[in-house]
Amino acid sequence: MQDGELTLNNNEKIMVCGSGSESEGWDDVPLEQAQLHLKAILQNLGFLEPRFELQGQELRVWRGPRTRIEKLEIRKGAEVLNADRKRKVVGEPLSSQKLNEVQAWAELETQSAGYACAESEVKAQAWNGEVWVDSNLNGKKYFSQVKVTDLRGLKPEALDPYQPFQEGDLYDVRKSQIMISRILSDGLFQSAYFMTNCHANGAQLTLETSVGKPRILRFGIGASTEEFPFFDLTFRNTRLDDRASSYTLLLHASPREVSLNLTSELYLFPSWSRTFLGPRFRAARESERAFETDSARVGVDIGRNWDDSNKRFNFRWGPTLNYTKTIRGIGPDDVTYPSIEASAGAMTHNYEYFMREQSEGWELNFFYRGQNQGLGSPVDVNQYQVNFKHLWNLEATSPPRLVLGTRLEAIVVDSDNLLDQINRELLPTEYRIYLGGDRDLRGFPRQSLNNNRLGYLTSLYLGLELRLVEEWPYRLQPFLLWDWARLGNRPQTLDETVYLSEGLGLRWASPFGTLRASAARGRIWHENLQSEAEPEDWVYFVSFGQEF
Amino acid sequence: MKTLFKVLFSALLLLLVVTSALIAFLYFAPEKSVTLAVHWFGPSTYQISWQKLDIDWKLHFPLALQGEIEVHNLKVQGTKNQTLIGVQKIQTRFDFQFQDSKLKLQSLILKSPDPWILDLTIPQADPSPREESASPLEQIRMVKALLSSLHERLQIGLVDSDISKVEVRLTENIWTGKLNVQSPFNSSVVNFSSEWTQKKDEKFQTSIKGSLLLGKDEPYPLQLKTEIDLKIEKIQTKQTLELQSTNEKDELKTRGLILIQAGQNRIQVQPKLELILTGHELRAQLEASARGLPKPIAKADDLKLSLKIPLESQARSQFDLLLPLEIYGPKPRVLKELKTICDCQNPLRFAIEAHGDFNLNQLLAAEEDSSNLLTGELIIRGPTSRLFTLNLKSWLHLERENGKYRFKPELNSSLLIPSFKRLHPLLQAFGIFVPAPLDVMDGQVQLEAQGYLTVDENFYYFPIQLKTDLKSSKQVAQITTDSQVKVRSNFKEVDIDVKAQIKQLRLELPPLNPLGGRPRITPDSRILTEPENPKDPSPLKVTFHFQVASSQPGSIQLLADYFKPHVPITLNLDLESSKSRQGKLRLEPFDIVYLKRKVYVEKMKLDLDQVDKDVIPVEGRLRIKQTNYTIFIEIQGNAFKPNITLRSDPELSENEIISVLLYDRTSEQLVSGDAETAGGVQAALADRAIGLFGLWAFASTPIRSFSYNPATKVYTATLALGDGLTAGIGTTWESTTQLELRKRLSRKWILTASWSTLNPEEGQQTRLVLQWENRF
Repeated sequence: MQDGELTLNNNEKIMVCGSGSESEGWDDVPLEQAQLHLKAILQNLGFLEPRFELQGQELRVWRGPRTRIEKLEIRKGAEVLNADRKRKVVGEPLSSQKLNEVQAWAELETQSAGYACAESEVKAQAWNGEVWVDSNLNGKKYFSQVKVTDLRGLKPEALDPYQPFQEGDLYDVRKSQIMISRILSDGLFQSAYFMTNCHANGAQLTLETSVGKPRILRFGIGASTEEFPFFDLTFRNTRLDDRASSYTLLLHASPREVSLNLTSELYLFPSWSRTFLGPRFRAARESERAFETDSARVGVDIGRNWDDSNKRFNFRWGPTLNYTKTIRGIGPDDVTYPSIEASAGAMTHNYEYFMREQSEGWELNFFYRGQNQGLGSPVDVNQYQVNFKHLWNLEATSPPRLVLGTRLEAIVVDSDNLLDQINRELLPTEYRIYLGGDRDLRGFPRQSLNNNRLGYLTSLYLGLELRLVEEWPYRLQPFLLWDWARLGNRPQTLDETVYLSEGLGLRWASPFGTLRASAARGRIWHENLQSEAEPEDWVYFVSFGQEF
Repeated sequence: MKTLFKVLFSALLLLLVVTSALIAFLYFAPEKSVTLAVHWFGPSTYQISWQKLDIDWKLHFPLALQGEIEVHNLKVQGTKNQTLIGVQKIQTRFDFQFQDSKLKLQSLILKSPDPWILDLTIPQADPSPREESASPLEQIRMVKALLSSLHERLQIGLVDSDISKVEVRLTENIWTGKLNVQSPFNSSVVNFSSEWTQKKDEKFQTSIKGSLLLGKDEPYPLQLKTEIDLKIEKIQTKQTLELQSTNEKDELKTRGLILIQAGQNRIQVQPKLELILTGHELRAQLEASARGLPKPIAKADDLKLSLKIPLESQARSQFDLLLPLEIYGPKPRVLKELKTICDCQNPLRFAIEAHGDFNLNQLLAAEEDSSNLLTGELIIRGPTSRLFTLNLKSWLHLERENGKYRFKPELNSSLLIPSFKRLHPLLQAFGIFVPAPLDVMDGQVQLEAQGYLTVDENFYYFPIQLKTDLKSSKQVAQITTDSQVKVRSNFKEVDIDVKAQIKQLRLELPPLNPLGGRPRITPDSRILTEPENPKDPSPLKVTFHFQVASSQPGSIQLLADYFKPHVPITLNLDLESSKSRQGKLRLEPFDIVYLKRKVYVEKMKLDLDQVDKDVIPVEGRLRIKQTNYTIFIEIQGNAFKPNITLRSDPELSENEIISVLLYDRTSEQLVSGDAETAGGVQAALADRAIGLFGLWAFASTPIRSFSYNPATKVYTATLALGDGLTAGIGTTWESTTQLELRKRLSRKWILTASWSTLNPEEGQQTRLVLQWENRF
């Protein structure tokens, strides 16, 4: 190679240079044949004007300039496909891999827009660098009733909680993938996939399943960003009955937490296939920097999971009997009390589908926990928490170039008698608000804003992140961050002090998970007595798996 | 007697009176006489007319006649009133005398100051039975006899004929020229000259100048010497022609130079023709040499063609042709190679020889059928080579059947290459390379053309046989090819019908590793490298028709480490270059052994009729023996997207079969990761995303993980290579929805890296877990 480098895989090396003594016929490849093979390899990589020179027993290769894509044109299917929204094509090398990418994009876009049986063809013109797409849409299709090949005794409505679409909805391949993802992550089936057949204006989906035995016993040892090491023992029964009721028992042990968790979803209501009863139990010993507690909780929820045309909703509500013993730190010494817990959430299907890429959609969660003095509880307290996160693909391109992430978190711990220092010390740990760390205020160390370990009662947090995607090599994504928060030592009241973080970071979406690093400087406006103790300095985080 | 005398006298007197009356009529009413003569004795198919005819006779009775004729506006018209000849004014003066019982043309002076117009456009003649014409030899004899008779009976004194301008119309072309014939007084030499030019663009120009000697006492009673200059577009020639005729023989000699401008080449041809006609034979000798011929012909010197045509009707004529040719090698590389492989210099010397005999009378007698009009032999001699033996011979036969000529050469040519491998440098020099794995094979290649070259109205047909017998230590190629070449008579179309029989073809496949990456050695057809412009039709249209068949089942054998003992193939292919192809390819039973897996291919049939449309119907069955099960993989449909049906003995469901295939146990005994893998394989099979190659990889390799994205129809697989090592196939981050990466450490232990979104309180988390699992 006279003007650059060319990396061949092992099989290409054989087809170009021969196999050595391994094979008589392919021991040596004639240079003219090697030239043909190299020409094809270079063409696949976008070098469309290579030059070759045979000099004796040597083949000299000039790979020449790499042809770049000058234009992406949609010739058929322009009502669905917008070439301006497909990024990383124009200006890129005209290679087979790039054409595959354009084809996959065209197929995903058309199948996401209702054209279940669209057929896309991609061609490129080397002489002017034009790439064009012909998508025969073959008409919009609507979801027909889902057929299932093997339910192994389950009732068809057992799949209702997993199904993000209804019969008659416009077809969207992403929804079928969301359903598979939900089923598999719940362990209902061992494997599942959809077969799609088009007829008239309908898309008939057949769910092919592989149903294993219902009881799963798992033992694991590992490490996470929060705990190192940890041991897990899981027992799960995925099919307690013909409505796919399930329970999971998890024994977890790490230096930070030893716990036993029982969760369940019992679909006992005959005509409410998405509504379940959820008895639960948890016993734990937790050790954090600010506290160490023993706790146990037992409760039962009524819950429901359901979808509309583009969102997933969940809701749980139920009473809990709590036991807490504070071993270290501020908290009740030994107390048993009942409480009510409720949560509700909504998440767009886009957010669910692009969860790994973190590029689109929003989710909103509301959480309530409350207990009343006298029923075993030393205090009368309610906690309200709202989380909202929205990811904006600013240019609506694929892949995104700029993703703006916004998140809002508001927590209020409300009680009339919490201003009393004694009552504050009796407040269970889960009612105390701590900020700081890579989950919220990134310019402050983890849970460092803790009001002298007493915790806050009100908080309002707003976080912004502007991330640059697919512009840096090795899939590195730089981002700018800005966090704002105000905290209150009293219920429903925010102090004047403002906590700010500005900084920058780097995200790397590896196949194992997301690795993030950030450097942010914490700043405090309108300092008060509590905040004066907090350092205003650069804080560095490296996290694995944590997203904005 | 007296009565007889009276009668004779009366008759003589009457004759004298009539003659005198005729002469008097001619003399005193010459125009009327000519009009009547033309009317009564002129040709019926033409109408001759004039506007004015002045005839002035002077009769010096009885031995001399002088006259002047002046014709104005002379016209000769055809049956459709078209003017064939038109002359404005002709002046002729002649002077005849009888001397020594011979008519002597004392002087003939013809002057025509105005142009002659001749229209030689031949009107569409009514079909009429052809009159039997004399043979050319008889015609020559008749002309010769006429000239001899004229020479004996007519003496010419002075001839001065000058036609200053003649316009000849022939179809759409008009030629203009002039003609001058002069013979000095009492000379036996007639000098003539003429010049002609095509009026439109002067592409045709010729001038003839010569003299005719009619001397009784000369050694040659008849001598003709001419110089002809001729220019037709890009052809220019200057020829001298000499004709000498005696009573014993006639000799015609021509020689000169022909210049032809063909593109950039200026070709010079120097022909020399000698014809000798004696009382019993005609001998012709042509010698010619040519220079400046287009490459690759360097020189064509010393062409010698001799003909000997006896005049006896039954005797056969003989011909003998010798044409030495020198041909350049096309490239310097070829020349270099040629010097190393053959006893030849550049340019290469060839010689075309032809000899034989023919029956001229039968050839010319068009009505008579004959199977033996011409016989002969054509031989092309080339340079001798150490690499090949070339023998180019053909017997020539010309026959006539039902009035049609049939040229039937019988080819007897062969090219023997004793060592195919030694030929490689020469082929490379010509830009032809022998690809791997064929390049290591050596042996004999023989090309033969033996049999009749048949001819019908439009085509020539001739046979070619090719026999290859090549070998290397592991490979064999024994192929016999019978071809019929069909060449259109205008040499613009060639059809080649090839019937190849594969006796044995054993070739090594490249030792590719399925895990070594896909070799990107086929150009991506989606990338168009040049606009699809309509191509100019080639002056030579060549079409092929291939019929390839293996002589016995499995006679094509492909060798690779994974195929035991080899892939045996039976092929029957019918391929036409202009039409769709037809054919069947059948794999005979063999084993695939790879990564400790063994797959028995029971059968595999591929229908190649629609291969150009990427449709290859396939029907096949693979058999895999696992510990407790025998699994059958049945393949049907298009080879690019086959329908795959899995069966087993004892009977299992499809997902169980996949579990057994992948993990040698049923799904109930699988941990969830393995089950997802099996499910992914099943999804990809059902979606026809796995082609034949993928199926082979699937069936013959221990897959450890497999994920399939139905939206993009991309699958990713991880194969176990043994000893806990794994390798991924075609994994792309965009195309996989896999959120978990597992590494299997033992049957129950898996190392899992996972990413998950937990509840809002806990946020998101990534975990690396060493996990043991049992499902019950």
